[in-house]
Amino acid sequence: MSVQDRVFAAFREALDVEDGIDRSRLVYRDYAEWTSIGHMTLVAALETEFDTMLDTNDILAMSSFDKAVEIMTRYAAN
Amino acid sequence: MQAMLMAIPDATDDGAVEQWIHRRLQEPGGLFRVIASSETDPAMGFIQVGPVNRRNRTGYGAIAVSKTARLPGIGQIAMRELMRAACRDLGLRKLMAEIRVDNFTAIQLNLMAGYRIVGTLAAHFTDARGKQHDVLLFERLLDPGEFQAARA
Repeated sequence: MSVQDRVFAAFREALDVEDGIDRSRLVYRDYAEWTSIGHMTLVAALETEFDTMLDTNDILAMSSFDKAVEIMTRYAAN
Repeated sequence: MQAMLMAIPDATDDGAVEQWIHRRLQEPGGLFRVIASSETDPAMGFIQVGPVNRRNRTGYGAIAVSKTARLPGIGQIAMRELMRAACRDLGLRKLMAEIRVDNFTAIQLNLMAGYRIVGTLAAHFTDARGKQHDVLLFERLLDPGEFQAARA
């Protein structure tokens, strides 16, 4: 499974995202479910999926699906 | 916000805030740290531990984040830093928290951070209008092994 698919799986689990969604719509506070609490759920889901603990700056920078993929690509490579 | 934090300030001018911070800094065995962004400078909130029971190594922990703080995950990071600092810097083995039953965001935040609800303190907090509120008591055991990651 690609990093993008793994990240999407975390979004689906944490934010109840439907499979066919336009992923560019997944933006912090724009997407209804992606609230401050949703963000915590998402971070937990990503940490479980990638078996890691996210760095503070990465948690703060994760403001869209594309950014999440960019960040998690680094973790997947380590 | 103050009512949800279960604090009723006598005044909120600069002098009163300065005195309030001074009192927090004097808390025996506790800590008080401001959350600020190196990019935007203004304070976004704070974390605090106190009162502390040094013999039992337990204390009350709290975070506050301004509604204007738009950074994703700022509450989560504050909570992680609160637990890390309580455990690693203060040597505590347990944090507790009291949260109004209608403060849903704080309840969720604490549960997701691993706190558990111990019970309900009935009519425990009286707000500025004299209305009494039930308060949930939380506890979170702290394991030093959890907090090895780099500091925020």
